[in-house]
Amino acid sequence: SSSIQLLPDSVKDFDEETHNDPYQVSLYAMDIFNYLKERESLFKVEDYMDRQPSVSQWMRSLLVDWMVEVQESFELNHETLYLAVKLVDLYLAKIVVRKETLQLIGAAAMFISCKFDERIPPQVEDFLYICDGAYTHRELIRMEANVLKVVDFNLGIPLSYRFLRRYARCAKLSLETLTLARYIL
Amino acid sequence: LKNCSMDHYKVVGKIGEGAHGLVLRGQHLDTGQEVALKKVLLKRLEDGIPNTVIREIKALQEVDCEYVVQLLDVFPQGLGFVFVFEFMPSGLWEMLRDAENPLTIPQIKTYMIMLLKGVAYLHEHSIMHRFLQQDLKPANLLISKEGVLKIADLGLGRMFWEEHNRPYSHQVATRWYRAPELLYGARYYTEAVDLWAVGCILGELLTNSPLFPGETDIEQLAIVLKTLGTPTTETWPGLTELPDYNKITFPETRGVGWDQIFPDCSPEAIDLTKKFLLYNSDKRIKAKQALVHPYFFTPPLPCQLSNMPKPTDGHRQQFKSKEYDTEKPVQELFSDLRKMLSS
Repeated sequence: SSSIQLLPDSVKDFDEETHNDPYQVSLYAMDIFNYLKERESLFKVEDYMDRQPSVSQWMRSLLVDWMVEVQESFELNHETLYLAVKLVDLYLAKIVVRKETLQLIGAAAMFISCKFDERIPPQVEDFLYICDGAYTHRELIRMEANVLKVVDFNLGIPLSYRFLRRYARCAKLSLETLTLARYIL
Repeated sequence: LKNCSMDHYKVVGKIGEGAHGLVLRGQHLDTGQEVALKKVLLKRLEDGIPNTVIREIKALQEVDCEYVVQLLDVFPQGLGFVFVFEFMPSGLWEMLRDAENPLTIPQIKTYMIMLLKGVAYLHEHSIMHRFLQQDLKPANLLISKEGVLKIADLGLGRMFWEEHNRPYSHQVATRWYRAPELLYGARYYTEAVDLWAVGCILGELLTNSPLFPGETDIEQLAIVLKTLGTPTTETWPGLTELPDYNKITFPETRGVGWDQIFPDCSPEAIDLTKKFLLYNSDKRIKAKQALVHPYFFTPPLPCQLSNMPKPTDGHRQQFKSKEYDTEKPVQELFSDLRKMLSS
């Protein structure tokens, strides 16, 4: 395969050990990560806090903490969470919002990323429930459409988490180190 | 929301009830570009926006071909979306009915080349089958003011609208262009279904009337079989395994001769049509192969774009039975859609 030929002789092919496992598609690993690397620069988020008069760093971190809780309680993939946070940031970088809608954006972002990444995504009602009835069905669905529009329907966004997993694997990191790295991300 | 609302467009008229709903004519306020605005409602709101719809919109955005109508913008409105397409003053359906300006053979050839290039593009990018359902028929082939034919209405049918009977339906059913494997209920089919439709369109261009105008699905199959002859396992391997094959049998026929179907056509035209209208979908000619068929290289040759008909602004309206009120406010026009959908 092309990915193996690209490697210099002195470098070990980290995917060699899984070549016999068709589920790992290790032959494509290099292509996949080159693609993700190439697309990464398309989704830069600039510092948008100055342009958000009613949103602060602290409020964003509260929202992310809440999203982590949602991820845990619904037992969602890590990728789902990271994509949702990315969607929130991309949205906030473009649209000025009131603080009351912040949670709605978070919920809509989780809702979208579940559809993208989860095998059995939670339903609208589940998301309305975890927002404790703060928003209506209609509001969530409208926000879903708004978020999709703002990110131009691009959901195939490279995530830091994917790179971390790849690097950890190649560097043969211990689970403790990886967990610490996840925490920092 | 900035850059993604109706505020950027001014509605200048109504194009009509398209295949799936109301289509308004608009103009971009800053650039002056003429656009078609299609408001669509989501089918099942309980689950929000289905990921198939997200995927479909993404695929539509990626399409970049001269012979496919371009999606310029899409933005949420209410509980649906507004799709913004480039404005096309007419369509092949109208061109075929323009008795004062009948199409010449070179013009027909050029339309076919445009259509085949559009289909080849979509097939090459696997856009059609993986993401976008498409119904090829004259009503979905639009003509720009420069005279370029473009494939329209990609995908939009499946996800957005409730099935409904359109009150002003002047358009022919997609059924006429439906490949026989679909009529027999095939669950697994290939892009060859589009080439069957292309063959039907070529036949319609050549004779100026639809080849297989079935009123019902069963009659559709009956007409195809009567015209082309009853298929056998030789002309159509796998025929007997199709889901609906045993549900209905038609009397054996040998079909009408090709010379009889196309009395005044060149042998090359008939040969190409035959290659599209093969029962065996594996043997049906591909869009790319069709583009190098002798039909396009035998005089009279396809004409240049400068010699193609240029539809005037009101061309489409000349062939509509109903006049539209363009004075109504937008909100009111779009509210019609709801009524139409629920009726």
